[in-house]
Amino acid sequence: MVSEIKRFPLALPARPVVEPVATSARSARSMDRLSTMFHHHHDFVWRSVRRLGVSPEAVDDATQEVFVVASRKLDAIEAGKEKAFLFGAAVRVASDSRRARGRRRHAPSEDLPELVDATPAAGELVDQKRARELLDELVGQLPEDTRPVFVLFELEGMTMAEIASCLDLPAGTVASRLRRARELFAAHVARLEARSTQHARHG
Amino acid sequence: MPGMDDHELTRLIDDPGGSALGRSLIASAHADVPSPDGRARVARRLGIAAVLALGAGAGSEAGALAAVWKLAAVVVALGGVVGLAIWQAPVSEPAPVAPPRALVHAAPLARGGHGDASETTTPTTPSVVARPSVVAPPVPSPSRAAPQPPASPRTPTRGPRAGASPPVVAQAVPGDEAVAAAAPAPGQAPPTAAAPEVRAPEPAVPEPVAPPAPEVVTPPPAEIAAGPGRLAAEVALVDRARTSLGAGDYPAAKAALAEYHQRFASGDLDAEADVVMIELLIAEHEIGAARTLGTGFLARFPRSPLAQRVHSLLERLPK
Repeated sequence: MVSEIKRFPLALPARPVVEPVATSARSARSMDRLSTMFHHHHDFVWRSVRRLGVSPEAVDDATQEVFVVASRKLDAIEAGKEKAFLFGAAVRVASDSRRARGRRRHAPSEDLPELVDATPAAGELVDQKRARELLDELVGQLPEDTRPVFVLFELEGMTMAEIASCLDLPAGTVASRLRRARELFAAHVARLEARSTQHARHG
Repeated sequence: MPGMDDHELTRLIDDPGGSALGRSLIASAHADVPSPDGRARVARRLGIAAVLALGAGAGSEAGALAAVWKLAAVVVALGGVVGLAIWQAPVSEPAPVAPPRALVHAAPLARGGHGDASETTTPTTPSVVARPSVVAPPVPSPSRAAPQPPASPRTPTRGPRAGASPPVVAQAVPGDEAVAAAAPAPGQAPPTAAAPEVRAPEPAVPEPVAPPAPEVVTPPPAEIAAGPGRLAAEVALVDRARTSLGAGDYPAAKAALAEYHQRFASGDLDAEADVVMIELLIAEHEIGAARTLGTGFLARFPRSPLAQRVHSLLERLPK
């Protein structure tokens, strides 16, 4: 890879979009495996990229991108680790997609960020779409390293042991990241509720 | 696993003592699921549409999430009872909706190159024909100025109407049930089945072209039908292009990209092929052409996960 980069007159990102692969064509067996992965994990990948910050309009493309990445790495994906690989790819694709979209995202911080202005109107119900937008915003405010753990635990319902295996992280790291993410999420929600209450009082 | 006892930690959605708003927000995610159409579309693009017959939408995860879904319904109802209203400006700025890729890449008509006489007379040219953009890049393309029959092998040529937003005609997508049988094996010569002949519309500005060529209308390159072999063939070509690029074999990279665009009129890896082309142009110091193609790429694929990479490439270009 280094030799590749040196050939370019300009510095290129270290990670190529398309990893060269040795094989020139996929065997039928590989295609079967990809199909099986798609069948079992498409919805999981879709939800993951969506919850990790990919916009609704781009989520199908991002999902496709994850499986294209997988198609190139089939030989390197350990049996039984397909879901973990796909989630890892989803994290990277979602990260690229968020940056490309130029969506405003504050640098991850332990401090409470300035949330969107939530001007309440008492008596109205929380609209599902609006709720998802808020959730996207709150999850997006979590530090990068805690976001996947939060998504897998709180939204995907995975156990911490499964998360540790999926992310290849020590158990303690998963636990500490999850704790931190939950604390931040709860703080964001509390702040949102406080604003709503304040607005309700003042009419 | 030590220290990972889930029983000690209740999920927010299961915690009745927690914030109702927080539970409502989390519950809202569980109603956000992929549509069957979207799933089928992605499967078709990947050439694995046949798998849908095995049971669309009923992945192994369904059972695992069933309990959460039930809770989601309860919490959503709870959110309604709470009646906490949130009135806010949209969180995410409304971004222009990118046209579906199937439309962007759909028709040979939009590509503007297949009816070009210069292409019909140079079927074996090693020049790489970059895909035209449906959305015109703001930077004038150096290769769009005039027809260049013997196109420079170092200059990407674009269709004459790349920026004119011609009517885009959706290409018929083979049905799922037909794809497996219709797909040739990777590496196999493209099928020669006659595609409907599509003539490019007359150019808005008369071009000082020489003698009217005889009525030879080249049909669009035959395209491998969607199916199990299609993605493999696309991946192989794009990978070959990138590998050649990495090895410094630029002609081979160009040839692979040219073959890709010839065989896949609306390939699923169009964006990736374009990124390789941009890098190839940069490697060959074709800065203007790289910028043009990159700008067009960002207009066509603003939400592509590859857009960030293209942004980075463009930012590094000398002014």
